[in-house]
Amino acid sequence: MNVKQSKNPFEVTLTLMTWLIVIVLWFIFTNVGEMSSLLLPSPQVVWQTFMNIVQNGYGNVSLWQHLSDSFVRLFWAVSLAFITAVPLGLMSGYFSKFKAIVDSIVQFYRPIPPLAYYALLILWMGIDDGSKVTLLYLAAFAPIYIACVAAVNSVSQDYILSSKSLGASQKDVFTKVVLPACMPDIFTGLRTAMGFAYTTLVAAEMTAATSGIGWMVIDASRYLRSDVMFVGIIIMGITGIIMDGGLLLLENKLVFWKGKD
Amino acid sequence: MTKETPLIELNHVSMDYGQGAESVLALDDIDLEIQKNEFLCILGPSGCGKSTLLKIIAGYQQPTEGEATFQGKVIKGPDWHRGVVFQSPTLYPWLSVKDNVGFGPKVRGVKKDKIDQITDQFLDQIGLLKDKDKAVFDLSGGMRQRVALARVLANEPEMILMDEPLGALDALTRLNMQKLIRDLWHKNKNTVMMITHDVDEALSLGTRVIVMSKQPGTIIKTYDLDYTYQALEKDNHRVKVDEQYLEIKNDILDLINADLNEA
Repeated sequence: MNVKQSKNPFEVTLTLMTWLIVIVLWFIFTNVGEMSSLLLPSPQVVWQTFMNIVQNGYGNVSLWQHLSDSFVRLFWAVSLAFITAVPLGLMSGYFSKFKAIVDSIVQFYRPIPPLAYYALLILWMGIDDGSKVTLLYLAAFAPIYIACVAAVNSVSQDYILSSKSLGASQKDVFTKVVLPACMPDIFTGLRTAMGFAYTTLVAAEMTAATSGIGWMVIDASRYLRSDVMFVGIIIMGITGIIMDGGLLLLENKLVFWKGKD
Repeated sequence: MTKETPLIELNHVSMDYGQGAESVLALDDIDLEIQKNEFLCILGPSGCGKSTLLKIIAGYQQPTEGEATFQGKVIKGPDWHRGVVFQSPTLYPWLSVKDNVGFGPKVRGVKKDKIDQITDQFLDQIGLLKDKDKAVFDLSGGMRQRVALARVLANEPEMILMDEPLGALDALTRLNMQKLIRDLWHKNKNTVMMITHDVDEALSLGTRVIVMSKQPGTIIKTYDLDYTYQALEKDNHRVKVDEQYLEIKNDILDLINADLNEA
């Protein structure tokens, strides 16, 4: 049985201390030594740049616009992936003939780095959001699809048999037993997909874009604005954590039984 | 007991797993009738095909030869007239205790207030009415198995099949569960077929006990007993162990051991 343990106060302190030390070391290196601020800006400079970007934006676009551009792309891509990958994955898990059709295609494109076919997508769909959303969609699709196939195959046979002996029809077995039994795995797939799509998003914006948090970093690098790059990277890290935390909260609410049976 | 059409009838049932040289004969030419209101216990060493027998009656598997009928009709698949209690409870963790018990009536389209009434009634019978809104993963093993029992009873099936339902429980919980199963069987006038590997359990619950042999599974002996009725009448609900009881117990153990040594 896999019991979720809450973090004890000592471990929380350890985590906080780790970050404190990282920041202190960063501070000492950049303020005492002869470190060029072009290579490694000091924490104060990064903080000032952050406040400046919050107030004035970057590249004539406000920070919120950069963030929302990125997240709208991410949201559409992952939502579309969820809506299509869940039914396809469940069907593949349920019907082996269906799997024979769909599975090999997914297995073929899954290991290819998304940026490898991004050039093609840009060629076909232009440099706008269409190609980016499609790229992220493909990145998010595979983890959800694969989680669904595995989930169906790991549903306990006794769950299915017992429901049939209680009078469940074929449709009841699917909607009232198989689907809820798959929910925890589907959620894990969703979280993996979100993480993978997010990584791809930043890479995509770095290749071709005029806004977005990834674009901000790559644009700053052209002008050697390492302070802006730092701000962008830190924001990406923190939003990534917040996003996963949000999904985790949702997961604990929606699939509260996960790991308890 | 009046002899009417038997509830379950097995005619020359055989079950073969696998094909060709690797095939294993799990059941060989079984003839069996189960009457209404019986409490049939099936004993035998592991691998004697007793679970296969249960799966055929439940409708999970089709016999390779012979036929199994329920109320005169050939069993084609599982349905709610024959409820099954598994060794592990198989409760649905996404449903509360109450919703687990109400699962059968719900998928059969029973009206909501009627479902509430049925679930309350059977949760009360198993003594878990106060826990009806709990999550099933918060219950102990014995309590879960009681809920699994109530879930089957809630459908008021013609027949209840139990596959070593108490196998995973500790000795004291087992005794309490045996009493509960006996009481419920008597009160609700059920027909039960229970697989067990515990001779005492079989003798103290069954109105009939069948001993099966190891591969290929055949019925080697049948006992008609009334210890379970005696236990119902006594205050402490336990079987009085007399000379005859011990003789039968020894007899059964000899049968099973002789069969095991032969192989």
